[in-house]
This record gives sequence, C-alpha cells and structure tokens, in this order.
Amino acid sequence: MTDTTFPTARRLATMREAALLAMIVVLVVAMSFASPYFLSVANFQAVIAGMVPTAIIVVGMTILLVSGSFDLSVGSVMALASTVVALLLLSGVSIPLAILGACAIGLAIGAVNGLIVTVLKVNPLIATLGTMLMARGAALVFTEGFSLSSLPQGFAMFGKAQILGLPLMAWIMLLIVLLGDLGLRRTRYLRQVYFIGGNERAAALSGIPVSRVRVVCFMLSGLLAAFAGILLASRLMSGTPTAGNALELQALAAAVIGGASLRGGEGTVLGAFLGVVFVALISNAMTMLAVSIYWQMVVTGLVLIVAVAVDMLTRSKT
Amino acid sequence: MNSMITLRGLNKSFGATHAVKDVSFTLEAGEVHALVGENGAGKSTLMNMMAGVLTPDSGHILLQDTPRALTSTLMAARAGIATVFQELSLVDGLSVAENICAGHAPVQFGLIDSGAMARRATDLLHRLGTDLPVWRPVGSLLAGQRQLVEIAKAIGQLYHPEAAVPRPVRALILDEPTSALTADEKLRLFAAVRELRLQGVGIIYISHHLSEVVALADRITVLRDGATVWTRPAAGLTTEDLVSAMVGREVLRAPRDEAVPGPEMARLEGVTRAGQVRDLTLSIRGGEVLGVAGLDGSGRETVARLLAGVELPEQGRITLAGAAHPGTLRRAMSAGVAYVPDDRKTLGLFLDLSIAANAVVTDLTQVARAGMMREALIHVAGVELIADQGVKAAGPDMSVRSLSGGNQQKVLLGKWLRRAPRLLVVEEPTKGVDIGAKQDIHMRIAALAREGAAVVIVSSDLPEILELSDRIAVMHRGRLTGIVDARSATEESVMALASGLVEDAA
Ligand SMILES: Nc1ncnc2c1ncn2[C@@H]1O[C@H](COP(=O)(O)OP(=O)(O)OP(=O)(O)O)[C@@H](O)[C@H]1O
Ligand SMILES: [Mg+2]
Repeated sequence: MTDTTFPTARRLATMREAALLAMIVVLVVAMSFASPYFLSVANFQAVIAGMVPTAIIVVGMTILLVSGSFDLSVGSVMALASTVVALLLLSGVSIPLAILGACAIGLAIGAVNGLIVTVLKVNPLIATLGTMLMARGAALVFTEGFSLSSLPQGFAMFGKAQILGLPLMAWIMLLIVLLGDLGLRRTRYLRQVYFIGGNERAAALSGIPVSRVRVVCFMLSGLLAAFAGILLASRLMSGTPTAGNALELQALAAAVIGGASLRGGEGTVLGAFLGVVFVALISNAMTMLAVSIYWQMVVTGLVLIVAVAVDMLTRSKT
Repeated sequence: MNSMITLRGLNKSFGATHAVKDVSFTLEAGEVHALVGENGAGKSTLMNMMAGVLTPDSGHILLQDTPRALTSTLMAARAGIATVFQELSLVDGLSVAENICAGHAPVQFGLIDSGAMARRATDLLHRLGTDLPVWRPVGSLLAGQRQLVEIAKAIGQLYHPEAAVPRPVRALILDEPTSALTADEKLRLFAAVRELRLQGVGIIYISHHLSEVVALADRITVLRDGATVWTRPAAGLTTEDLVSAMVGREVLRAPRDEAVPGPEMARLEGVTRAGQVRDLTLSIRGGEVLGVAGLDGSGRETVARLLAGVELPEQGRITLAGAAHPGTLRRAMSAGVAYVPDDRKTLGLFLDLSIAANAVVTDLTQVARAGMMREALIHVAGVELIADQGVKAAGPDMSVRSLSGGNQQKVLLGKWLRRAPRLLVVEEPTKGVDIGAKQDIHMRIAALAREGAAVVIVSSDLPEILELSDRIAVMHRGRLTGIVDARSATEESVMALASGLVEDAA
C-alpha cells in the first residue's frame, strides 16, 4: 500500500482533484444542454468575476488548513482593504500607493493573527474570530457604514481591462492560484507546512521553525484577502464595508471540498481552486435554472457534507 | 477443551504484504501466552484482529469454542478482551482517573461519580504497585507512567464493576508493555500479571525482551514472516532457542573496543531547573558513549532535553564544543546536535507522511535546489534510509503508520543518523526493536562514537545502558549521584546510586 499525503510533482493530480475535475466537466456538459445561455460569453464572465475574491482567498486558506489552522478574518479583511484603498484614493493618494497601503493592512492583520496564535497560544478559531469582528468593525467605523464611490477612473483597470477575452482580474487570479499551487507543492519553505500540520510537536523537534512559519502563513492569508478587497473595489469602483460576508466560510468549504482537512497535513491549492469553481458553477447553474438564491446555500452545504462523507468512507476502507 | 480464545487459520494482508499467514493459536484461562518474533513478523497485526481493530481476511476467531466476529474494539471489550496497544492511546488533556475509567466511569444519578472514579483508578494503579496522583493530566506524565496508566485502564476493563459474575472470557493482551518501564516498574507489572493469571485471566504477552518472556510465560509462540514457527511450553526454553526460531540465524553481539576520548563536545556546568535537575555538572567527550541512568523523576530525560536545546537552564550554563549553547534545537542542529525523543508517535514521526518525507524532514535544504524540492532526491533519501537501517517496508512511499512498531523506530533513528551528528542525544534508542535490529543499532551507535562523535543515551533499560555506554552518569532526584565506568559497573552498583542509597564522590 503506497499512501502519501504529500502532493508531489510526480503525482500531479490527487484522486480528489481528478474527481472534482470530472464533476465540473459533467456539470458544464449537462448545463449546456439544459440552458442555452449557460455557455454564453456573458455568463462565463459573470461566473469568473464572482469567483475571483474567493479563489484568491482560498489560496491562503488552504495553506493554513494544511498547517492545521485556518483564518476566519479573511472576509472582513477583504472588506476593510476595499474601504482603505477607497479612502486613500479619495484623499488623493496615488493608485500604487493606495494599493500598497491596503496590502499593508492585510499583512498587519495577518501578523496579528499569527502572533496571537503562536505567542499567546490562543486557538485560531478564537483568534481570527476576534480579528474578524474587529476588521469588520473598523471598516464600518471608517465609512460610517456607507460605500465609498467616485473613485478615480484609472483605478477601474483591474475590472475593465481585458486580455484575450478575460478581464485582467481573472488573469491575476489564475496567476495567484498557479503560484500558490506551485509554492505549496514544490517550495522548500511551504513544504514545511505539511510537516507542521502532520505533527506539530514532531515538526518542532525536527528543527522546523514552527511559530515563524505559522506567522508567515497568516500574513500571506491576510495579504491575499486584502488583495482580493482591492480587486473588488476596482470592479465595483467603490469601497464596500459590508462586502465578503461569510466569505471565510465559503473559502473553508471550497478548500475542504477540494481535499483539505481541518485536521491539517493535507490539501492542495489546485484542489481548493477546483472546489471554488465547482461551487461557483453549481450556484450559477441554479441561477440559470431559476432556483431561488436561498436554495443555493442549502445545496452548497449539502455538497460540502457529501464531499467530506464520501472521503471519510473511502478512507476507512483501506 | 474449552479454550478462552482459539484462532483458526487466520490470514491478513495489506496490499502485497501478507502480514499474518494461516495462524492458529489458543489462549487458555490462567495462562501467560507469549508471542515473539522479529519486527514486522505480524504480532501486532494478529493481536489487532483479536482486539477488533482489524478484521481477518479469512479464518475464525472462537471465544470458548463459539465463533465470533469482532468488528470493533468495543465489541471485543464487551466480550472480555482488554488490550494495551503498542502505540499508546491516552487522551493527554484528561486526568489519569478519567483515562483509566474511560468508557466505564462509575455513575450515580446519571452523573459521573468522581469520588468513585478516583478510588477505582487508585485501586487499579495500586495493583501495579504505583500511586500516581489520579487527577494529574496524562499529558504531564513520563513515558513509563503513561504506560502504567494504559495497563491499569485495560485491567479495569476486565473487572467491569457492573458485571456481577466474572465474565467467562477474561483476556488481557499486552503489546510491548515494558518498552518504557524501569526495572522496578517492570517487576511490579510482572507481579500484577502473575496475580491476574491466578485469578484465571488469560494473558497474551508480546515483547522483544526475551529474558522477560522466558521468565514470565507459560507457553511461547514464535512468529516469523507472518507464520507460526512453533508453540511450546516455556519451561526449559532459553532465549537462544527463541532467537534462533525468530531469526533463523545467530545474532552477534557488537564487539566493543576501548573508547578513545577526544575533545570535549558538550559541557553542563552547575545547571539547575526547578523540580527537574539541580546543580548538574557533566562533561561529554567526542568518541565516547555516555549513558544517563536514573529512576522516573530522577531528571534523566531533562539532561537530554537540555543538551538538545528543547529546555533551557534556569541557572548554570551549557557549552557545545566550547561555545555557548545557542538555546534552540534548530540552532543546535547546525552545531551538529541530533535529538531522538522517546515517543515516536507523538514527538518523533509524521505517521501519515511517507518514509521518504520522514527521512528528509531534519534537513530539507539538502533535498532542495534553489528553494524547490526535488522529489527524486527525497525518493533516494527514503531508499537509503530503508537500506541503511534495515527497515522492513514495501518502499519509500509507504506511510510510516503502516510500518510495524520496531520499523517505525528505525525510521526515527535513521532520520537523525542521516545528518551524521557530532553530538547524538537519544532517548530509548531501541524501543520496540527486535533483538537482531537492536544489535545493529548498537553497532551503529558505537561506530558513530568511534568516528569521533559524542553520544548520550538516556534509557529506562539499564542492561542496554550497561552494554552500550563507556561511562554512565547516574541521577537521583535531579542530582548527579555518580559517574561510573561501564566496564566495571553492574546493575546493582548503578541501582544503588540511582536509588540514592550511596553517593559517588566523583
Ligand atoms: N496498515 C498497514 N498497511 C500496510 N502494511 C501494514 C499495515 N499494518 C501492518 N503492515 C505490515 O504488516 C507487517 C506486520 O506488521 P506488525 O505490526 O504486525 O509487526 P510486529 O510483529 O508487531 O512488529 P514489531 O515488533 O516491529 O511491532 C509489516 O510488514 C507491516 O509493514
Ligand atoms: Mg508490533
């Protein structure tokens, strides 16, 4: 019996990734028969635009999940970053500087999350629940609850500019997913995350700087969430303090559907991304079939439970 | 005949590994039936089938001549089979009493009766001759104490308070119960086992300590490569008989030559940590093997943790090759330190990762180029570790969890030996390892010392320390009571120092 949870370059796709890909193909084929609009360019672009923030955020979430941890603050950090970038732009700061400023906020919140978890030994659920509330609160305080619009026209480029028929935003998303997957699969630094998630104490006793790696992972998650917020602000041309509600849970669900586990030690960015795509397609399919938006949540929850249950059942067989 | 447990033609395979081949076996009431064999011979697999953890591919398990399908540990426990597994399975956050009474806590008015629970736990621990505080969390116990708690828990399952009449089947399976016990704790365990035998309990005893087996068992079954070699009455058998049946070859003792002490590699000077060690001064030279002996609570494992940089001295100082100890394991590793902890499951290994991944974790840069992992190099490292340590495994991609206990231990040692350490600190180097592999490991450790490295062995196994060391540092209640030359030392002379009866001037 060969059994390794390390995703290696040799084993390009895990079972889970292959299964998800197959289901996505089936879904697309079925939907293209069921609805004439499904395969249209407009629908395709709408699905992608909706997917971008989750797909970017899920990269950091997956890395954290593999390390045996997670980050509930991502949705709030995204909202906060979108308001910060808007505030900076409105106060006359140049576009690159405003972007940098919002990214710095994300990094800082990530560092705080990481330090609370590693130095104060508060568990990630509580730590990031706390920062989730604080970041959302800050976004609402800064904006008094209103969206900030009339941003400078140049800032619209992420959403407007198109390359080969896809918005710039989508290319950025693909690049981040690709880099994230390569990073987690191949780099020495992120490989340490599998050891930490596999057995934290053994990792420390093998010379892995566990706390430092954890803080870096939280910072990465914060940075990616902030970046998603900047892209969102660019697409909507406004800073929205209420954006990204429950996004952290959607990202968690997608990562788990894609093969990550809350126990840590397993998961891939590619799998998590496919999880995001799958969930986005299902929602879209239901919209096309005129199913109420409320049912979509029910179905997402169902998919999550079925995916994990199937996994548990196939696992205990061996 | 009315045997308590009868196994008929049991088979179990894992993929291509035929772990148990057509094994038949009986356990009578009131006997100690020992099961011996090399690492990977199939002992744990066999007992896991009796304990309801694994289901046989074919064959039958009969309890008092009635075929039974044991599909869960709960079912086996209800049928009267209590088990102590090779890898301990206590809950760290719960107390000793809660762990011992897990699943059958005394209840009153639907609530757990904690007084009764404490009494029950105390009582069971007394049978094993120990009085651990029952409200201590298990996570804070030493390896040997945890093992005793585990055994007390299993004995408790045999004497379920609600079962008014004694059960017809009362079997206790012990898989390597003594691997972390001191000599004293072992003797008390054996006394408890003999008492259970008198009360009609059948005991299956798995161990690599063959002299213990010969002394304790009524009958012995030898397994080799999954199949039974023979079952014989223990009376008249010698350890040599067992070894030749297990291995099919003679086991050589490591030849020992005189240590050639080199330069000082590590030094502890007046080191104190409250409640663990007091005013400890010790020098370790290259080329020598230093054993650290002592009873539980003597602070012997603290010496290892201090040298490794996992714990820091509150007073005093530690130097490595003349320079101040950098204070963390990670940095000490760059100075050539390797540290093998005593619990491979929780502290040492990544059970769900492959052998290859475990082999490279202590030096990821060595298998990376420009920051990118090279899978081919990882694979080679795994292949090398399997060959160097003689691990019985299908290949380097096999998960460590699917290895037998002794083979896991070889992986743990191998992942550190790969680094060619200058100062090797090992706790329980041969825990769960069979007698042949033990000699191989001893030879490897001796060779490392002869190449100029310093080796510190911390072990509860005194004969092993006597055999392996050049000098032995003996501790009692956190203080060094003597340093003796291993060639002239005896178990008695070391025990006298360890129990604080005498104190060496040195
Ligand atoms: N889950 C598993 N998957 C694959 N192989 C397994 C699994 N469990 C055990 N094996 C294999 O079965 C064989 C027998 O293992 P077992 O644990 O029974 O040995 P053992 O006699 O208890 O050895 P030890 O003395 O080292 O504990 C070994 O080769 C082991 O690798
Ligand atoms: Mg075993």
